[in-house]
Amino acid sequence: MEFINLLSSFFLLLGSIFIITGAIGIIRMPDFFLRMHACSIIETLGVFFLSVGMILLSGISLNSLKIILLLLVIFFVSPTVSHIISQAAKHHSSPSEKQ
Amino acid sequence: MALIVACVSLLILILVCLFRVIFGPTIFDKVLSASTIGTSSIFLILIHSYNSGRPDFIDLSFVYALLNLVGSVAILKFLKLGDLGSSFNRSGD
Repeated sequence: MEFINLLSSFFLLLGSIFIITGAIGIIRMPDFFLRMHACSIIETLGVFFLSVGMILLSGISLNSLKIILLLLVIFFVSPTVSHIISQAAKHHSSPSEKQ
Repeated sequence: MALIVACVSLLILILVCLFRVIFGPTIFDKVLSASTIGTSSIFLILIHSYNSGRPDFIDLSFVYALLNLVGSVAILKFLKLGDLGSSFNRSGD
């Protein structure tokens, strides 16, 4: 039981590290598409490790199943949103905006 | 303890994204940062449900995940077509 708690703390801290990395990327990247890359780091790796830590924290129960379903929903939704945003940005970008 | 660290990192992320939402150079930065704020608020709700010992909040995070998709798609459809009622046609792009 102690080992499981330690493992869940490790995964939660790993997810926090990825989230901080993505936050630094969002505020420091110079271009829109690079900032989108930083956002996708948060929405894949940071979210995945945070969810794994919470699943290990609650053990085998209904809450774990709900978190797995939530992770599945996020993994289908966030690439869709990223694809739509990048398509709209490519569609809207004018030649004067490109550096 | 690790839950508190994750909560603080998510709050820092929300602060950074709020900066991008207010001062973002293009409108797409604003939409993307708002979507990221939605994702991080889902996990703040999950951490609150673990901290307070009430697992009912996990269902609320499902609502936030689906609302995030609908909001972003609606904003981008309005930006692309200029009208929320019309349908996409495949001739463009």
